[in-house]
Amino acid sequence: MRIIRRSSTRSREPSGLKARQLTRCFSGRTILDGTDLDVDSGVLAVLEGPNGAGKTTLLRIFATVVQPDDGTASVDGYDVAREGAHVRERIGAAFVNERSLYWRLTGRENLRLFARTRGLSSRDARSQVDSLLEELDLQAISRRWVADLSAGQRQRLIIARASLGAPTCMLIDEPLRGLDEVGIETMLSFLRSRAISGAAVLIVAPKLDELRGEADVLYRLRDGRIHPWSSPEMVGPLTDQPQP
Amino acid sequence: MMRTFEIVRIFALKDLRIALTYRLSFVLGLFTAFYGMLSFFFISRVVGHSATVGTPEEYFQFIVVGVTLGNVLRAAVMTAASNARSDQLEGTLEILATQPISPVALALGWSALPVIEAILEGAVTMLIAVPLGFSGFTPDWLSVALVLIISIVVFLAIGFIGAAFVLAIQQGTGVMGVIVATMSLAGGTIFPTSVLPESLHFLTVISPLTYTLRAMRGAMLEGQSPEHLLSTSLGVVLIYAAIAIPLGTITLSMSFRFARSRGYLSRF
Repeated sequence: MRIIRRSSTRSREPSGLKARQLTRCFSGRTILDGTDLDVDSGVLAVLEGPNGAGKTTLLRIFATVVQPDDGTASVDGYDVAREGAHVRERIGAAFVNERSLYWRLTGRENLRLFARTRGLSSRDARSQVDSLLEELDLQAISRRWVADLSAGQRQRLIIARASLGAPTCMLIDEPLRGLDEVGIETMLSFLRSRAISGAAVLIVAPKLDELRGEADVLYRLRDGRIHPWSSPEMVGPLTDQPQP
Repeated sequence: MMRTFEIVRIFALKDLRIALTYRLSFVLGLFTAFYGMLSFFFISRVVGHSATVGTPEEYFQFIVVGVTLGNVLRAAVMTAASNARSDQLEGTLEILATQPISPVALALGWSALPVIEAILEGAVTMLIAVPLGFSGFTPDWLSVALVLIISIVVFLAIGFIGAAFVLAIQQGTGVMGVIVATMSLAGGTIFPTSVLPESLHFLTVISPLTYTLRAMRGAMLEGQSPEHLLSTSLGVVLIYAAIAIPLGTITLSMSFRFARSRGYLSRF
């Protein structure tokens, strides 16, 4: 399903995320079955689907940690399977896994480490980390060990990490997980700002909730495919008429 | 190349920060080294009066070089695999795989601090061993440095294969443990290889540790020059380097590709 809410802007061709007839199976079970997807630069897209629908697998394919069995996926025109190194220079990924942070380092140390792995100089890393900590309201806890942070604070750190180095495409798994109301507001505003600055932002989540109002494009994944909004498979919250 | 060094430095500093949160383990490591040397000192008093191992002092010097270099090379071989496994189990491997880092830089980053630690521990161990009888010889320090560097490179490359196993099949530390134990047994770490039975001599011949230990003992205890070593044992180590470096690098890159194709980077 696809509902266009705002017009997209493309800074250059080809840009953003593109999937064509993606197929991926695990242990004989088809997770993605001929999936197509487009997220242009400057667009914030939300992909909704139930648990096990294949949302995270799709995200992982764009992040190059899983390769498709068939079909193609590209990031800014670079094929994820054949040009992974170029893809990894352009993406910022955040998966649902708070253990992906180093728990015996502080939040600031975690961010600086990953800023340097993205090729930022020491000075740029420091300034970008400071800026992200401020944007996501993490300054007060930035010198605490990750082990001592709450789930919501870790979640914000994970999203901050995905933004390091100003990636052109952001792949975000359930960004609102564990956040309180203020945190949700901060996060939505943050993700919106990334799209406004030109990044293609793909968010996946099992429920739309607050994400609905923020998305430029809404997709729904069912049985490994993205269905047209009017198909009989469509049930649940996405029964709105698409806006022109 | 500069980028690789930078990544290695960044990961070594990260591991150092984490290691500093466990300060007691460093102190305990020094105690272990001290007690180890003391044990070997007394063992040398017991066994060191034979034609095979020479005087107690000679055997003690033989064993100090064997144990300290063996520990450095064990760190070089084992830690890429063990730290890859740690990142896999702790959940950091997947996100590292999304970073613009080459597999070789990542594997070197996994090994950097443990190897540096092992070198420093080795130096401290030797200092501890001096009052016990580790003295009375004139090392060729250039040869010592050359042997150490070339040996570490060879053993890091072998370690890449262990990390490749971890990435491809989520295990590999056990395999590397067996390889290291075999090399230690056959390479002459704590006893001369001449005492091994005939049936195990082939292991001595194929183990790179045999030649690195010979080279290091030559450099350290007999003051052999780089030229001499390069024409003998260190020359053999260089042949191992010519094989191990491309083999390790290619295997590691292939394992990353394999893990990405199977989706194993997200599994443990």
